[in-house]
Amino acid sequence: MSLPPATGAVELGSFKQHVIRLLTQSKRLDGRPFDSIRVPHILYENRQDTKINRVLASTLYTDDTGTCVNCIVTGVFGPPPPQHPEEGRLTVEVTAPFFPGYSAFQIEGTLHELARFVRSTIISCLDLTELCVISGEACWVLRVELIVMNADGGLRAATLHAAVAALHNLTLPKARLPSGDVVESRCLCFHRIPVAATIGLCGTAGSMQFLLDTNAAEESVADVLLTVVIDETDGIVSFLHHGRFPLLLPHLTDAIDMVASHGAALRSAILKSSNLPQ
Amino acid sequence: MKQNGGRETPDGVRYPHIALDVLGQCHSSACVELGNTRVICAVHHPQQLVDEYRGSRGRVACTVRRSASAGSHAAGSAQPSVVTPEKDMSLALEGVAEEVVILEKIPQLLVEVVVEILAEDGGVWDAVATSMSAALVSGGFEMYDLFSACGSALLSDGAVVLDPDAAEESNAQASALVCLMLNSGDICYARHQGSCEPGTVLELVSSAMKGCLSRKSAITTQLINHPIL
Repeated sequence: MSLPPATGAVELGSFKQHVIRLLTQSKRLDGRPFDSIRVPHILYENRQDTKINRVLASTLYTDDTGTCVNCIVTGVFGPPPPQHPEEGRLTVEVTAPFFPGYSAFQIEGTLHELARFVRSTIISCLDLTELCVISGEACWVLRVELIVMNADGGLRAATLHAAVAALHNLTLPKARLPSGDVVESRCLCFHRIPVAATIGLCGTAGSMQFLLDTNAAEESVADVLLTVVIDETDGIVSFLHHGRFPLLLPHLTDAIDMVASHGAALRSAILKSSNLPQ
Repeated sequence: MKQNGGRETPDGVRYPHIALDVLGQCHSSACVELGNTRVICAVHHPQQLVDEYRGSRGRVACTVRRSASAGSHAAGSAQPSVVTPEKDMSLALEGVAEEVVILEKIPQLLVEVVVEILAEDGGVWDAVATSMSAALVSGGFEMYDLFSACGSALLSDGAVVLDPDAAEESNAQASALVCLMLNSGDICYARHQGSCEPGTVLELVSSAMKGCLSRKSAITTQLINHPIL
């Protein structure tokens, strides 16, 4: 479940063999150690005509090797969902327009899975009742659109970090309902802030190698892929595992500890810019 | 009288800011900002055409996609429809590219161009044409000329403004758009919408041509100063 790596003019099979050969020598393509992460950088954008475009927040997520995700949050008023009248609505869309057209069918399932993952993780960390305006009648409908400009592995973590950076401390503006009621300005806050990382496992000669924060080439050769999402207290928010063979419990706990050791760095990188204006 | 968006005169245009090679996975790419309008254009690696298109000329296929939060009118749409203004724009851009790119130099190759409109405040055609021209140039495709586009609008008070923004476009009685080559001045694409007298149409088109040519030095300077080109 990953977007195909950008191999340039090299055939994908030869590229995989090259990556496998590097991994047997305990090397990675970008020269990182096996237990290091690519620290994200978040660029915030303050557009001048926010009222016209309904854009509430816009962030650009990048890391050192080229993953680039643009997150745009728009908000309108709408009716609440019938099964939860006291909650607001949150929709997430993930698009990757800059991939070649012949792989559009291949990556569509990946993007849908990404959107479901980001939405479920955000809903578990965000109180949707804060988006309620009038119970049963009106609520904020937030639309999070994630545009994957460049993909270099770790897409779940990248899209989740971009969305969390855009939604944390988001100011819902003062607005007027069609009925004439004035809705006051409100600040959206997470009650726990999730950070995520993708871990790849390669089984070579019976020994298990952990690759923290895999890139696209490593994801194409890894036997097992894990995505771990934790909060500030190192509680597990979400855990995804898929691969060719099952894992034992010590492998899972080692993976969680590996992500937890970098949780503070990831969280400060995501929320660093939003603390400065306050 | 100050126009919307702070431009001083009705003949003023917003000058584009061009950034080349912004995407790592494409053959070439360009990002163009024109005021509050932002567009990213990507050119994929050329691929072999399939059998029924084999011939002595290559092909340029164009796809234009609008971000759902780019414009205010698009944010409310529930389902993406089949016929969209972006489809019209992509077909027109394919025609423009066929005129500008020397297709005999790339026989039996398909060049796929993807344009993503990230933010929109009028002048979308201007930004899209400029970004496509910059992306094709930085990709090394041989072209007869650079191309760009400019629009003009007839406001309700009878004034002809150049490079209208979103508010002026929506309130205009008539609007015209011209896409032309920057050095030779040949017109690749022209469009007129609305209702007005024939003399005003000529005035709108000539204003758009002047606005397009006034951006020529800004575009060529940014492309020449790029370290790759």
